Amino acid sequence: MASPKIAVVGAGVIGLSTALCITETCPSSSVTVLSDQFSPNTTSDVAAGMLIPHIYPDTPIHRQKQWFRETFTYLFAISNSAQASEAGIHLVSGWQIFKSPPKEELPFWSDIVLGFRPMSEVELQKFPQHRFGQAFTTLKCDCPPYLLWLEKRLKATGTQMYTRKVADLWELHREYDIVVNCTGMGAHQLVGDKQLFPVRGQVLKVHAPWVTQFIRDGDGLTYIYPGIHRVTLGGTREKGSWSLSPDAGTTRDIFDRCCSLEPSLQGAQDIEVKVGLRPSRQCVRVQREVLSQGGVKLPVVHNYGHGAGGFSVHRGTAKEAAHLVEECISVLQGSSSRAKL
Amino acid sequence: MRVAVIGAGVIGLSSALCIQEQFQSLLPSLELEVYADHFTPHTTSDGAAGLWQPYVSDHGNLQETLWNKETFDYLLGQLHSPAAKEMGLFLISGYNLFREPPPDPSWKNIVLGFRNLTPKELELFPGYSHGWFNTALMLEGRSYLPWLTNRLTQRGVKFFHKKVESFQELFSQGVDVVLNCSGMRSGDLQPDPELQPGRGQIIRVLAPWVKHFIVTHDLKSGIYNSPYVIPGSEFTVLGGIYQHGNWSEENSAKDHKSIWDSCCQLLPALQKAKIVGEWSGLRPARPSVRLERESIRLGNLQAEVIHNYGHGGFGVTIHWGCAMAAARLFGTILQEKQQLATPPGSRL
Repeated sequence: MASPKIAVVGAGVIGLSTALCITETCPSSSVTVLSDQFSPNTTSDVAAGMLIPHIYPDTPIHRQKQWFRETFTYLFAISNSAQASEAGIHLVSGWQIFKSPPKEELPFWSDIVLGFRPMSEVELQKFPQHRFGQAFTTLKCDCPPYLLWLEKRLKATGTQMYTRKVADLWELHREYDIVVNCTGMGAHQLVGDKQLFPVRGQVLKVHAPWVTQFIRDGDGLTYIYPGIHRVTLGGTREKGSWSLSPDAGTTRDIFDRCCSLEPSLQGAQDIEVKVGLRPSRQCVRVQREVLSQGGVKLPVVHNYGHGAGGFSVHRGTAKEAAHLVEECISVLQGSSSRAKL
Repeated sequence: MRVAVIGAGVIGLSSALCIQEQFQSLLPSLELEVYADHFTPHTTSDGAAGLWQPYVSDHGNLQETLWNKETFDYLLGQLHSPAAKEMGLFLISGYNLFREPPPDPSWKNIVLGFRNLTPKELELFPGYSHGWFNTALMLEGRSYLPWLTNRLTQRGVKFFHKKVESFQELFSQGVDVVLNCSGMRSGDLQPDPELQPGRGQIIRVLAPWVKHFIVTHDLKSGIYNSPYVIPGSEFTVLGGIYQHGNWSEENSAKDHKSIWDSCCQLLPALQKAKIVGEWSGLRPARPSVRLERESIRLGNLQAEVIHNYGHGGFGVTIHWGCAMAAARLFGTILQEKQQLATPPGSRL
């Protein structure tokens, strides 16, 4: 197997970063990205891209921490380089505030973000309805810039990208040796994963360049995330809802909730409403599998189900998936050399 | 009672507003006038980035520290008002960086969340060994001065576009009290060898991914002679020039290169930033702010001047505390002239 042919299905942050990791880990392989959507029409493009982890109930904490740490370190280096603006990566400081005491005083990621500390009394005065708060500095990946930058890096390695709707992974077995499934919400249909469910999120992207600080309510429902050109105001967490249509009442509600935390948002302009379905699961599926049909085997690596935390752990899960691809390649090379005997 | 304010920068306009707000209702005969040769957007205040931050050392000047605090507290109180956006007022966090351990600044308990930088944060800034992180305020002159002007105009204050040549000129026209807020050119009205220009130059760029201010310090070479990056609502200001005694308001190619190279070294991503403007201005520097009354004899009349100038590179930072102090001095003058039964602060 001189040059294993690898198909990565999905071109959101998970698909593109996984493809990139594969080109780094398995440089002799030939990688192709297939997706029915590319930026700016992926779920990732709706997300604010804030590095604040989402907790997966069934993934061991040390593994989540490792994924987050790898992602943070990787993006931290980019944010500090000349490429930062093109990649859309920037530091942002702000507050996570709570009306009632948070479950944990020190979340597992508090030593990975920068300068994590409790908010002072004076700082909390800005939020009269909230009694506790955490101040820290983290990173934000703006989309589309980040996805476009990943696409550019991929093209530079010779990776091909095609718009194509894959209805069945077996479609790919003749052209490709290994398939990497980064289809996010699409995995529900594509591989019949009933453990995967949508959590609908509606957000507003507004022009309010005087907002430099992020504000997040610890309940995860209300947040203000300043990006390069727009501020993302959120949001909703509607479990089981598949609707991609913006809801006007929800827009009003999000705007009101955000203005109550940051009154200057009343002056925000150019309000754009977007909806995304967080591909949610009790644990992220980063796993190898060999599909079998009529004597033919198809190695598959899954990397989906990141829910609300895709950006926060993308690089960590991409690297893990790339290692699984490496394992698949070894197995294939082992069996092909056995076949030569 | 005619009161003339000379100067329409942040000091002149805010002093006028303070006096107007506190005394107009008590003194119906009060007529406020603002005279200036430059109005927004051509004042020194318009060139300033607008970051609230005093110098790192207060040289033991406690009065100025109190005025700084008064200004910060006042602005913080305005933050949630509907006027905040129009005023150009918003919160901003950022970094102060040093190559050697700095003494704690006088303002560490005035700003929000002041703390030392962690080792990981210092990794962002190679060459700097110590630093602070805090949340402060931006008050952009380009918005604040028009906002002040609108407030004053609504309240009947008159504006005159002219260069006042002397205090006498105004007194001979019937002005009773003059507020001298003429900043750098106060020396033209009354010689003051202590007032010297602290020339600055800045480059304006589009770098909307920068969400923090970064001010570096070289404690040996003096304030603002080390690169700084201050993001605003429309553009980001790059600076790091402070030339004592230099009166030139021309942009210098040498200073441009120094600012550009040092800021790009500090923040490599700036190399991709688009330059949209450049400006030079003169900080009206003085060992301390001159904020005091002066009585001038003109024939058998006693004319009053309230001086409020010499705010160096911290005019925005200190302006409100000084405006309130100037208003108090005005109140005293009124009392002496028996225009007021009681000063506005005390109610019977």
